Formats: sequence, structure tokens, C-alpha cells
Amino acid sequence: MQSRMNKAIVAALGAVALIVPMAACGSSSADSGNSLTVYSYYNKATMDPVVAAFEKANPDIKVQISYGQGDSEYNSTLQTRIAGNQAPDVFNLNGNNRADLMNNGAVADITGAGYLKGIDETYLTDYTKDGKIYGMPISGWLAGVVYNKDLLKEVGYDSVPDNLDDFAALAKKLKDKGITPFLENGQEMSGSLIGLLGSYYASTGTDGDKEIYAGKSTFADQWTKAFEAWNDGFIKSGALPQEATGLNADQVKQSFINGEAAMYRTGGWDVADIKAAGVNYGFSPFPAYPGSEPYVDGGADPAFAISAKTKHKDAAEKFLTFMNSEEGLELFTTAYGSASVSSNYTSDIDEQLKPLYDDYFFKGKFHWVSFEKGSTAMSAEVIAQQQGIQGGTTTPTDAAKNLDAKWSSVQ
Amino acid sequence: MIESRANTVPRKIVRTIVTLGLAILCALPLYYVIVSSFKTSVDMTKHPFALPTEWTFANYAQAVADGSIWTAFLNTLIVTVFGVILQVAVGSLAAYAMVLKKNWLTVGMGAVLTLAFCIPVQSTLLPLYKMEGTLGIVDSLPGLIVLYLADSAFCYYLIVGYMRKLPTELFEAARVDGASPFRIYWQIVLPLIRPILATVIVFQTLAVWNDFLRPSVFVSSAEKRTVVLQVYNAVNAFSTNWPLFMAITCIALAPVVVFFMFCQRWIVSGLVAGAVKG
Amino acid sequence: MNASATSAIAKVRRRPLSPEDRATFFFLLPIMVVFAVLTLVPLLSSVYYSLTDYNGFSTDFNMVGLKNYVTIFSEPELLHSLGFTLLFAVSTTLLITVLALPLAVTLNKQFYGRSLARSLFFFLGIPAQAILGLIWRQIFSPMKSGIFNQILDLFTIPPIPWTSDDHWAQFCVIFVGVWMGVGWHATLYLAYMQAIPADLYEQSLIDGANSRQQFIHITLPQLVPAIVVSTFLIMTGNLKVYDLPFTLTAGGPRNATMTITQAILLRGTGQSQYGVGSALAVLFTIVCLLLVTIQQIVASAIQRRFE
Repeated sequence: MQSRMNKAIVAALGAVALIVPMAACGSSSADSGNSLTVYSYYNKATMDPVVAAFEKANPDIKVQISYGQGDSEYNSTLQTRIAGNQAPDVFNLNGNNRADLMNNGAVADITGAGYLKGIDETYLTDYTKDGKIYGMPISGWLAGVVYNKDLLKEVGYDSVPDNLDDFAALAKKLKDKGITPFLENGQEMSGSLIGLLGSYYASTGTDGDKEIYAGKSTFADQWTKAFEAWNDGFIKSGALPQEATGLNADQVKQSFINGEAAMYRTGGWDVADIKAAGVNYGFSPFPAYPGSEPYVDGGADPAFAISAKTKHKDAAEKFLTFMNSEEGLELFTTAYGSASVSSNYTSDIDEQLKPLYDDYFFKGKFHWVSFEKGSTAMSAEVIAQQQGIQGGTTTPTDAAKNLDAKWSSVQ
Repeated sequence: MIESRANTVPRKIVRTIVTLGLAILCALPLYYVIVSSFKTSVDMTKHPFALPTEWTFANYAQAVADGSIWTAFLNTLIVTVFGVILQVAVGSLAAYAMVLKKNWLTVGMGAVLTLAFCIPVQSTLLPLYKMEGTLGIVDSLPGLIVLYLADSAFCYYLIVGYMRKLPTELFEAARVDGASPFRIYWQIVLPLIRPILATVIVFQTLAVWNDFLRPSVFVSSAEKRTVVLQVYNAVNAFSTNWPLFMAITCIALAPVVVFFMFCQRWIVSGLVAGAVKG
Repeated sequence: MNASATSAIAKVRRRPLSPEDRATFFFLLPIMVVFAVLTLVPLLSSVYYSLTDYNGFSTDFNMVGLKNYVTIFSEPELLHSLGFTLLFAVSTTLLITVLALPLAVTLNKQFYGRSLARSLFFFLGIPAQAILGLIWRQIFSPMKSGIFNQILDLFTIPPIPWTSDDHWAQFCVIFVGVWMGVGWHATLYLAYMQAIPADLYEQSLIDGANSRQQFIHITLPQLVPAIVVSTFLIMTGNLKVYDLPFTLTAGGPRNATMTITQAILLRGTGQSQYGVGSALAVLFTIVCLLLVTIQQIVASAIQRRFE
């Protein structure tokens, strides 16, 4: 009994004795030679091959990489590190943090850099401010409707209709057979809603979202019609049941794979699992807004950026150069499962998904919502409003009005 | 001693069935974690709660493949051992002060310490990060250990209630014999509060071992990673490799499970109860 | 008062610090340092930032007085999240205590597989909240294929929209919160129970008490300090809860299960309104302190009654 206590004391003293030299160790290893700190939005499985190849090509640079775990954790940790003067040399800009980071001088200006060559300019606009480019996206994502060919065939359909009326009819036939027609992740902004929004903007000829951000328009003017079309086509028709508000992406995928649901909204990231499950699947864009053409969800993947306060600019630039090289692009997009948006490499895309990329994504027929201010709060508000419509407690008009109210509170 | 009617064999069997049955039912989620680690992603999606259609060790293989998990274990071990010892030391010293003498300092501190429980961790991250940044201990093990010292208030709180129940005659006797307060603390009090010390040590070991938030913000280099951070390596923004996640979780939790089963006896040690009976 | 009492008091006042007083200072020193550095400084920092428009990035910001606090009170969802957090904290405190006490008593009795049962119950809350939230999400799936709904189906009860209905979602969060805490607190009670002198029970057996009477008249009163500790910990811990509701229901549907900590994160870190986030944190600390003070007052009253 006594000796155990004594051992504890010795251990505690030992701790104190160790901490002093360890503290000294801790700080010195941080600024050794040519080390590059990267805080990656993408996980280990995606970045490991890339980092390994980069270090092989640049043996004098050691990469210290840490990973985020999803949007909000990544953004808050990144902010903490930047505010605490420990900004990583290279990090990622995503829809929710790009505005803040660009507006506050945390990112280096990379306009005109050689390594940007080959990136399609359409994708650079999201990461440009006042004519200066701050982020380099190297791949893009898209999402549409994945459908179970066998289930649709049972009710006499070969593919997903491209207009809302026929889509509602398909939904009814599926429901009569006890199959859930359509599902989507209730924890993020509705993909089908935004698909309709994009389709609506195609018919008006203006990007309504950009007008709102510039203060020239309101959500009431731009979003109400899309909310109404969504309400009619997806909610009132019974295509998207209210249960979906309580489901996350994995549960939705699970329902589809188990044959409980005939369709759901997803992109390339689920293809591997759907294939492995042996489902006879196909991809289709969202039904079009009345009088317009079908659209898909899509956008550039989170871009790579260099810290404005980096002390290793050379190494950071070499890293970005590597990301946009043929080798880097291939390693990254294969591991992540996305499509390269750089001419330096063309990705292999799943054959069912390929038409969506060729006919919609690379033709600019995609849309996604990325608020230029208060992004996290606005996205949460969109989700709350869409759930209100799904639950029948909010009207489309009110939903848009509430978005306006929220927007003015984040100015 | 009167043999209680309450411990006859039939009663024990009934208790076993009811309690153990309830425990197993409640432990369904734990079963889910373990069973999923042996499945493929599709199998887990199709049959979440069934046994694997085909047992696979690929997830475990992948988890230990690049060897970084062993460094992570070492880091977590260091942080946990020192973090817990220091917390418990600071907390028990403070608890003893409360029991020793009631003066304005102890009463005041007692009130002030409740403040420590009322502050959400999220709001302490930025200021602490800045502090550690200036001291240069941000991305380091000592830096993490220092953070866990903040839980001393928790240890203090658990210990002080128990300490107050100790009979003061023992202290009086020792003081009359000329023992210094520290010796009384060390040689009399600490041994007497062994159940609660063991409990607190176990609780805090689990808490520190399992902690995710602080390492995720403060650790940015690969070699300083803790084992819980490794778990989240399987997470991606759009899709997570769930079986891998579960496998790493099992690996991460295995040591603490063993630790707990080992320490369980101390928590409910009948020996100490005897000493208190007096 | 007589003369000897007054002179005794005078003697006490003039007496220099006893060795015990000096000792208390040294024993309290470590925790005072730890508290000052790790708790007080961040708190004061939050108070400071709550009075500014700091956005979490640029070092260029201004004092804006109480503007952030006004923002909070004028936003219904922030107050709503405070409401749900309170509901969650209070109901889990009550339910866990009510369930953990009998459980601890049972786990203290003799039966086969006792070690295993104790371990299983304790471990319920050990895997990270984030993981458990996701697993329970599966179990509570509102689709027909959800585990609970399948069980209900066996009894021909229609499926319940567990996570897609406001009130059911709140129920789910509270249910899991209780599930996670019962074993941990039962273990705590188990430890405190070891300090109850066995002869109290022996004496009561001689007097002919049955186990229910023993529980109410011996165990419960002896466990009052433990109950005070346990309820304090549940209350303060669950007021600060984040991971569980976030992974179980993501604060939905329609923010029905949003917690204060989630609101702080939405507004503060990761969002350029660090000042508002800090104000929320300060408000939260104040509310929490109020609740804790109330709880302590009630607890000392109860304790005095039992002593």
C-alpha cells in the first residue's frame, strides 16, 4: 500500500522532471528546416498517397499533415489555429469558410501563379475576390438522382422523368407499391431543392444567388418560386417523405441499398458501395423547373490555399504545383473519387455517372449554394426552413422570407 | 453474522438473469461497434445488426498498416498517465484543504471552483490555444497534459464529498502525535479514500484517453497524434469508412477496457470499508 | 454575552494564522494556479471578446458594448436552444438519478456474472458521444426499417417518426443521454456505498427490516452526499452537451434539439461572429452558475435535514 503511493509520487516527480525538457523539445521541432504544415479537409486515405508521392519528388521537404473531420470541425479548428498564430502553411477553402478567410487576409494571393495553369476558370470564380485568386480547386463534385433500375421497371419506367409532373406520377406509382420513392440527406441543404433552383435560374438567365449576395435582390424574389416547385413536385406529391428530415447520408444510402427506396440524391462518393451491393443503378439529373432544363448539384471541391503568413512559401507553392500535376491529380481524384477540373489530367468516371459529368457538369449546368456571408448560419437556416416545408408547418413564401430575415442578421 | 435471506441461490439466479440480461440489452450499441469492425462497408449497410455474413480482418489490417497507430498509443499513454496523475494530485490536495480547516480561503475557493464546471469547453479553446501558442507548447504532449489539468476541479469535487465522511478522530489523533498536515494527507487520508481515488482515476483515465476535442484542435503534426484522432482518420467530409472507423475505435478502446476490468476491484474493495467501520 | 465569551472572541481575533491555515493555503495553491490559468483567463477572455465585434480572424476590431447580448435576446432560436438545453439537463438529471440508485443497489448485491454486469453498464457511456449518437441514430431511424420500428411492427404498432418529429427527436436525445449516464453514475454510487458501515445493515436485519426499508432508511440517507455530487455532475455536464445531440439529430428537425453549445459554435468559431459566440458562452456560464447555486442550496438543505 505504502509502496504503491510512493511509486505514484515518483511518477509525478518524474513527470515534472520530464516536462521541462519536453517543453524545450516541443518548440524546437516546430521550426526545423524545410517542413510544411498542411491542414487538410480531405482525410488520411485520400491524402496519404499524395503526400507520399510529393515527399518522394521533393526529398528536402517534410510534410506535417493533420486532417479535419467534416465541415464544422475543420472550419472551427482552422480558425482557432489561424487566430492563435499557428496557421498551417497549406489549408483548404470550402464553401463555408472561404468568404471569411478571404475577407480577413488569412489567405495568400495566388493570382497568376504558374501552377494554376490548366484549372478551368469557371471553378476559380468561387475562390476569387476583387479580381484576386486565393484558392486552387483541383476537382469537382456533382450530385444527382441515383435510381434503382429494377424498382423503376416494376412500375413501368426506364429512367427518371425530366419534369416535375411526370416525376410526381412516378412517385405515386412507387408509393402504391409500398416503395419509398425518393430520399435525401436531411442534415444538409436539400439537393433536390438546389437542383430546382439552378434550373430556375437557367430559365431567368441570372444567377439569383449572386444578386442576393450583392444586395440587389432578396430570397423572397429569387427563391420563392423554387421553394414552391419543390413543395409541389417533391413534398405534396409524396415523393420525399417527411421521415427524411431525420435521416443522414448513410441511412439514406442504406435505404436505397436495401431496396426500401427507389431513388436518392447522391454523387460519386457512394458509387463504390452501391456497386458492391449489386444494385442495378443509374444516374439522372433532377427534374427541371417547369419550362426549364434539368440541372445537377455540383461545384468545385474545397480548394487548396496558402496561408498569408506562411514562412515556407516556396515549399507551399511546390505543394500546390504538385496537386495540379498529372501525377498529383491522378492520385488525389482516384483516392477521393472525384473528377479533375484541370486539363492536366482527365479522371476515369463511373460509366453510369459519366453522362452527368459530360452533359451537365462540364457544360456548366450545375448549381450549389455557397453563401458569401454567415455561411454556416445561413445553411442551417435553409435546412430549418426546408424541414418546415417538409413538415407542412412553413409555407414556401414564409420560408424565403425567413431566409431574408436571417440574411440581414448576418451582415 | 446473520445470514441474509437475500443471498440464497435462487435469488442470485434471478438477479443474474434480470441484471445481466438488462445489461446485455443496453449494450447493444457496443455490440454494434464490435461487430461492424469485422464487416465490409456494404455488409454493414445491408445488415447493420446481424453478425457478419463474412468475417473480415481487413479493417484491422488497414488500421495498423502504416504503423502510426503505435506512436499514437504511446502518445495517448503518456498524456493519460501524466494528465491523470497530476489532475488527481491537484484535486486531492485541494479536497484535503477543504477538510482540514474551514476558513475564508477554503470556503471562497470552494465557491469559486464551481465556476469551472459552468464554462463550455468550446469557448475556452481559442484563448487557451493562443496562450499555448505564445509559450510554444501548442503542438506538443506537455501542452496537452497541461490542458487536462483543468479537470482537477472535477477530481476535487468527486473526492471532497468522500473525504468529508472520514472520521475526524483519526486526524485529531495524528495531529496530537505531532504529524504535519502533509503527512496526515499522505499516510492517513490517501489510503482511506482508496475507493474514490480508484474511481476517479478510472473515470479520468477513460475521459482523457477518449478525449477528442482538445487533441483535434491542438495537435497538428503526425507524430503527436493521439489514438482517438486516428479513429477520425476514417472520416471524410462526404463519406466515412464506417467499418474502418469501428475497427480503430475498438483498437483505441481495448486498453481502457482492460484497465477498467483490472481496476474494478479497487473501486468496490471491501477492505477499505472495514477500515472505516472503526 | 458574558465577559469570558467576549475575551475568548477577542483572543480568536488576535491569534495569528494557525499552521492549519497556512497548510490550507499550500494545499490549495496548485488548484488555484490551475484554475487561474486554465479557467479564469479563458473566461475573462470570453467576456472581453463578447463586448467586441471580433470576427475570429483579424486583429482589427472594436468594442461594441452590449450589442452582442441584444442580438442574442432578439433571436428566437438562440433562446429556444437554451430552452432545450435546460430541458435536457434537468430531465436527464432526474431520470439518471432515479435509475442509477436502484441499479447501484442491485449491482452491490451478490449474483453470478456481477463483474460482467458492472462493467457492461459502466461502459455504456464510454465510447465517444459522437459514435454513440450515430449508432442510436440507426436504431431510431424513422423509416420502417429502423430497429425500433421493426420491433414495434412485431406488435403491429405503426412506425414512429423518431428523429423526424420535433418532440420524438427530443425524446430520443434525452433517452440516449440517460442511457449513457446510468451506468457511470451507478458506478459512482457503488463506490460511495462502500463507505456505508456494514453494521448499520446488520443492525437493521436484527430489527427485522426488509430490503426496501433498508434502502429507504439506510442506503438513501447515507448516499445523500453522493447524490449531491452525482446530480451536480450530470447537470453541469449535460448543460454543456454537444456531441450527442449533434450526431443524433444534428439539432433538428427544425432546431428542435439544438443545444446552446451548438449555437455557440454556429455563431462563434468557424463563423466570423466570434463576439456573439463569446456573448453566448458568457450568458451560458451565468445561467449555469445560477442553476448550480440553486442546486447547491437545495442540496445543503437536504443534507442538513439528514444529519
